[in-house]
Amino acid sequence: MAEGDELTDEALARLVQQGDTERFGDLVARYEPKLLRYGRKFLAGREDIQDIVQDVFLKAYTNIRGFDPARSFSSWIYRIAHNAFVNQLRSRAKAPYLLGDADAFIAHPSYEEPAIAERDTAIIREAVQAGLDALPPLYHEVLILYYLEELSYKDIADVLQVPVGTVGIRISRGKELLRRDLPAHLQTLV
Amino acid sequence: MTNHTQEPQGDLKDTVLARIRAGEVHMRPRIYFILEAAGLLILAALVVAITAFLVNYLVFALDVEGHGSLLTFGPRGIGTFLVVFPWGWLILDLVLIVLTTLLVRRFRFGYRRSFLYIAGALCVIAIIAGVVVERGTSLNAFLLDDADHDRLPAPIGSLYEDVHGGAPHDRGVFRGIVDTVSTTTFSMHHDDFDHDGDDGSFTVIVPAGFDVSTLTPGERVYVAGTPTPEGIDAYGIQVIPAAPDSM
Repeated sequence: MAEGDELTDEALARLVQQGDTERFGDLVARYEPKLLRYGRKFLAGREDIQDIVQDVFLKAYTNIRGFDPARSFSSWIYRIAHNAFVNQLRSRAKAPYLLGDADAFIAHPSYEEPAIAERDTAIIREAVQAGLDALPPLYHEVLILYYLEELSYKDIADVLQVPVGTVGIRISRGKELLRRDLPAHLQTLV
Repeated sequence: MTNHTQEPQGDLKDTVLARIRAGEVHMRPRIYFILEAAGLLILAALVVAITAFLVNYLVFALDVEGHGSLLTFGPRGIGTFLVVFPWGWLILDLVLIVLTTLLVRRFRFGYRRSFLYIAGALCVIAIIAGVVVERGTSLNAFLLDDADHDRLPAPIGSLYEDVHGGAPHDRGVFRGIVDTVSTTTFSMHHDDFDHDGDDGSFTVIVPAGFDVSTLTPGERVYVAGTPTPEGIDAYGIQVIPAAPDSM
């Protein structure tokens, strides 16, 4: 086991903040596959994901003293990645990306995370992946974060900077849209 | 962005560390983030303060101008109130609330709640603070006095000078000081030195059921009605507090 493996992300980030910059390499190693996977899903078809993710890490390093180690490092770095990916989409999209934030405008009933994590079933992830590309970006990203990146509702709320209820309603609506487009044998799974 | 498109996965860690060691990127100091957060909070507080000040001004202006009386004059009075209400200031206030909400939503306690929740809370804070300032302090009297003596710069100076503006007589609204009182009419005069339609002496025909004996010469009254050859045929009359130097 490599040195640093026993430390939490937040403990490693604290060491980096204190000047142990080599520890940042441990954080890069932990999050490289996750952010590359997230980027490939978010920016499907792009060939420069690795460059974008490298910039995400450099931006994270630049701003790491703004990170509060009492909070989740995961949602903090996913937030930086989310912003970078959205900027990439905005720079190339003909239509504005995520123009409307109507779901965060009003309060939604509290959405609890399912007690039994349905996302743990591999076939559900497969069903989600199968229908992702057809979804609008608003639902696309929240389903990626929940089903494929396995973030909690609260962490997703921090990544997207929206209320937790909004995360719940986007997941719920995203699943509805998925069901409509999926083959019949997968519809009951989502 | 650098070009590492062909870089095999796994080299990212080494590349990032190499660029850090080479001094291509530096950690921003903690004070940068503290100042950034403090700056945002100060800006948000400043905008809330301006919003509360405008609420205070709206309440004060409606009070001094007497337009609030229209709300007690029945449906016709409410209709006139909607016409004479200074909607521009209210819209500016709402724009400031939206701006503050966007600032507050940059913080975790802000984005964890819905936009309407934050905007509603800010509205309540601004209204309470504005009313407390208007009712509990002499800020407006002080500013009005300074505006009258041309000691207040624009835009606050012109804002308070507008409080003395004439009543919108073309909308059937008049103000004046009671001169004499008879059985069903009273006379009043008004002069704000602009020689327009609301200046002069008027006879007011009181509405049915209004006890004219409750009026006393020298009182300041707010009258809503239709000008006729016999005088102003009033549908609403209310005594309003005297404003300093306003008549």
